[in-house]
Amino acid sequence: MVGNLLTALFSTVGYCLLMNVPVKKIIPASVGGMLSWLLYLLLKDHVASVFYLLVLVGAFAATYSEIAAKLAKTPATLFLLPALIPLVPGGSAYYAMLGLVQNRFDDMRHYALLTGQWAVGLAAGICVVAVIRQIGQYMQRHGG
Amino acid sequence: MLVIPGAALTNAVRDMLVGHTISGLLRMFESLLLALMLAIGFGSAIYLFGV
Repeated sequence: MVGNLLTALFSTVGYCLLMNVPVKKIIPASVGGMLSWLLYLLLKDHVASVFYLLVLVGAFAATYSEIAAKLAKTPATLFLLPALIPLVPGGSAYYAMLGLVQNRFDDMRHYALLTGQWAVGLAAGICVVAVIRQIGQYMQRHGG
Repeated sequence: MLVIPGAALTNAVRDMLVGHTISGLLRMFESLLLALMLAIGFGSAIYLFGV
């Protein structure tokens, strides 16, 4: 478990270096990635549907990034992208295309559907938090 | 495996859900094309050298 989390942390640090995140913000951004991976590992055996599990994890990552952006006075995207790095479905997109190239259509269909499920689930979770934040801002501005 | 576009795919879906449909479609097609090109590279190496 600890090794798993450390691997997620270091891979996120590597991606932050690759994406030119400012040096002082690499640590909080990577901790966001580690925490969302920890939440995924904790909830994996308790939520039956993978889609709703990913909606929960995406909502957690978006909440973390909004709070961290508020504290660090930077755009939320800077923390949102690293928080999603351990979870994004890059491998299954690649395996789907490899199945297409190598004539294994059962694999291709399986991995393509898996890619769509992960991408749509994470994006839906992020959008839930984004919409709640927009409603909150509207209420603040208009005194509701 | 480092250049496989996972984050771009998620961001594309998020863009489309938020309302930026054209930019989301563009990024999604770009990431799918990148994955296809990577798979073609790996697949032809496997085909040629029979790993």
